[in-house]
Amino acid sequence: MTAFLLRRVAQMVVVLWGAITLSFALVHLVPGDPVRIMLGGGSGETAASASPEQEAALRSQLGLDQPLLLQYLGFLRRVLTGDLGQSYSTGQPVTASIGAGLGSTVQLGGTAILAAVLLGLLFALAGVLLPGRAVRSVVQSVTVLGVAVPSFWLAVVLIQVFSFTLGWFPAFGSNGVQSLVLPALTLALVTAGTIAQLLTRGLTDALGEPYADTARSKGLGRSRIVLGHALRNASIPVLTMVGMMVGGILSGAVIVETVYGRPGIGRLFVEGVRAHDFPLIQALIILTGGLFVVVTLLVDLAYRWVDPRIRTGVPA
Amino acid sequence: MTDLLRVRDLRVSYASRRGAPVQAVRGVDLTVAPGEVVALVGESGSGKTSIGRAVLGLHRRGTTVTGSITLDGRELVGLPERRRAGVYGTAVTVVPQDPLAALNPLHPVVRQVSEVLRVHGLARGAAARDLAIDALRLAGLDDAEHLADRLPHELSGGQRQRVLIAMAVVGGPRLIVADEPTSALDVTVQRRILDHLDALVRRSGTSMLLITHDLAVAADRADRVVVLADGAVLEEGPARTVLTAPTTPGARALVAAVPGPSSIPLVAPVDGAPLLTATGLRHVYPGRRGTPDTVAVDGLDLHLPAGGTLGVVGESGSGKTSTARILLGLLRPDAGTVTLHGPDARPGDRAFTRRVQPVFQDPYSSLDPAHPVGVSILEPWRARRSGGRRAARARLGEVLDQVRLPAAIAARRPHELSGGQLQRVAIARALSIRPDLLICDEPVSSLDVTVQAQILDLLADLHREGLAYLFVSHDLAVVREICARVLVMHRGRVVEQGETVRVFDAPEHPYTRELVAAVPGRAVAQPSSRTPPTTSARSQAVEAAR
Repeated sequence: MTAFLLRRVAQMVVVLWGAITLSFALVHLVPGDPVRIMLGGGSGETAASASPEQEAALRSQLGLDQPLLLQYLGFLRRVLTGDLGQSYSTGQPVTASIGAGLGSTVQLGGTAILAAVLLGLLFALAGVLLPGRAVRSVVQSVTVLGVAVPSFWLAVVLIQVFSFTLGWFPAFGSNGVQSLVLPALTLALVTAGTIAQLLTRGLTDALGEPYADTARSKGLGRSRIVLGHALRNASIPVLTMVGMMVGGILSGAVIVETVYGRPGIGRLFVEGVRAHDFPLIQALIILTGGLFVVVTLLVDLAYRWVDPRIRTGVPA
Repeated sequence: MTDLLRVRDLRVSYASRRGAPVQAVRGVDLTVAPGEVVALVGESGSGKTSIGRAVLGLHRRGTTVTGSITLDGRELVGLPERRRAGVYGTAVTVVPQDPLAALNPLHPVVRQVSEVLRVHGLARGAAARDLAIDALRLAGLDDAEHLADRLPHELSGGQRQRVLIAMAVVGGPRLIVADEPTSALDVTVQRRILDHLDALVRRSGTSMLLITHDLAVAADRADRVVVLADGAVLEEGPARTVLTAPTTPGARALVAAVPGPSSIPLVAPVDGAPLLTATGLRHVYPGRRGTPDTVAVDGLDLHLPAGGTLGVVGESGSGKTSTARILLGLLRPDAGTVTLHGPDARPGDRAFTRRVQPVFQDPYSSLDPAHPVGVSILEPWRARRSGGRRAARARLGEVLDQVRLPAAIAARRPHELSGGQLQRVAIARALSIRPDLLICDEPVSSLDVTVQAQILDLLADLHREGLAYLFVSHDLAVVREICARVLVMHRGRVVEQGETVRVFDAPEHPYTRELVAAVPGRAVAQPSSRTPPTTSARSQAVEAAR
């Protein structure tokens, strides 16, 4: 176990280093001069209107007048010390902007993942356990809808129904739990549909396996077979899915936070890109990379818990 | 004595995607008395497994079961879901076929055994665990305490089968349905497990319904045999009578197709020029983290004359398949050489593959499902650009004729053919470039006995036309029929070799003796009524029955 963790942490470091390097390269890969782009896009004026002094000041502030290797090493050093520079558009340190948005997005993402897993589980179990084949088919079909509907459209519909018509939940803002419901649901439903589909498929497959027959021959009822034998076997592919969801949640947050007017990482991304705010975008890339690395580690740990074969050696 | 299990006019049909439902069982009557062991034998598609599943109440969606199955007078057909727990797991239990697939891969084995007790409220907690460990010990799992918390994949095939037996006996059943309980196991393990199951059942007076394709196993283990074909009972009676003097043509064909433990070989030894020589072959599979290296082949020498037939026998892990793969050039040996004589070539050379061709165990997975089989058959031939379209068609016709397949089959795809047809296609593919030597790795072990007999006859005929083959098999009776010489492998080494009849009739090495003794079928072995050594006579008997 310790060896496993050490190996994984080493891998995490490599991946993070990759993300940092990529975010550094971003500034140099963008066509054109980043300083001119920032001066042009950030203030809404054309780049030509910025004075050469302004340009030179920004250039030295960003360290772009130094040799590339020095810039890179300096960037690495600053990232490692937690100094990601200042947002060009707000003038605040980017860590502060991100810190302000992160809590809200984590809350939103966490709720969405939880809701997606619970809903997915609920629909999958209902899809194999409810009495009557017709009922099960209906439940299984509903999940297809969840996958098929685009999240921005879903957001608009949810607002229309639950906020404007029924008035149950606020449509905008981020005040309290109430305001979390609709955005989290918007983010969750698509993934919940995918999880439900994957899990239903896994459960159906598991129920066709010889070990399910063995369980049936032991006198177990259907629900005991599903909960006691099939579910754990079927959750293994779902875990992978949940890991990948985090990426989907982050890109989904871009849409959802915009539509619902919530502050957060998704909004920051949009604003950063719009303002050509390189330090902010760089910091967000590193943050996203870090999140992925952590989630991947958590998923791998979960694998070992769900599938003891991984712990005990080579699968047969 | 009243019957424990009584099956009356049982019919099982499966809904099919197109057209009428498939009738798998068409009105079967059957009884099992208390303490009796009844074997259900038949080939694939005979309905034996469907009957077993009906008795166990395991039908899937789209299956219709009618008729009556009573256990001690209690009707099991149409038993409501909530009543199942009163019957299955305690009164009726199963020993399933594939010991790995039949166990939940994620639960420790002891938990899977004690689950029976927990579900039926017979014991719980530590008491259930203790009883489960007792059952594991009773099922012959040595060191049960130590192995109890292992996961299925950490046990050997034989140990897993013992776990399933423990699961079947722990609830104190009246009837055990054993569905091909040992067909996935090596012959010596099979014998030990069947001996053990036999003893358990006899001692406790439990009845057993033994479902098997293996007539020899049925003969050795059952009091009564029921022979099935096409979902109906062909013949039934005491095991000895049915399997030595069958009265119906179908049962006779089935019995004739089984290579007996003392049958006369279909091929004679030849003294040709050397064709293939291997010296000092060694192959080691490096162990992964913590596990030691596995020496698969350890200093193996082998010699095959032109037109010769050589069997390689041994149990799983003996290195016989690794040897075949080395000879084919699919596996690089760590040491040793393989030489194909006159003109000399080595595995991996183009000249080598032109003269040495493989036939694998599973014809279905060794053929590309997307290609019509005619394309697959000619693939080796085309790869050598041997001629134009007309020549290709002519060659296809020739090889199909050689393996006795109708020409029309070339346009079909693998999933449209039966197992026997597919294996003929695989042989035709190997023959398409007129090789000198076939290397066959368990080519008949996935086939029914009558189909197996036809393939064996085909190989013997090809041998008569001058083809040499090396035949890897776990089945001693099969090797005896079609290999003049044999090589017995154990843990990567050759422990004994020589003329097949001599090796099997008078084995010298203790391991060979154990292997020969474990071959089922002693109970009905009758040298006087054995298969005539002409292939056509047997094939005709088999054909006539169809």
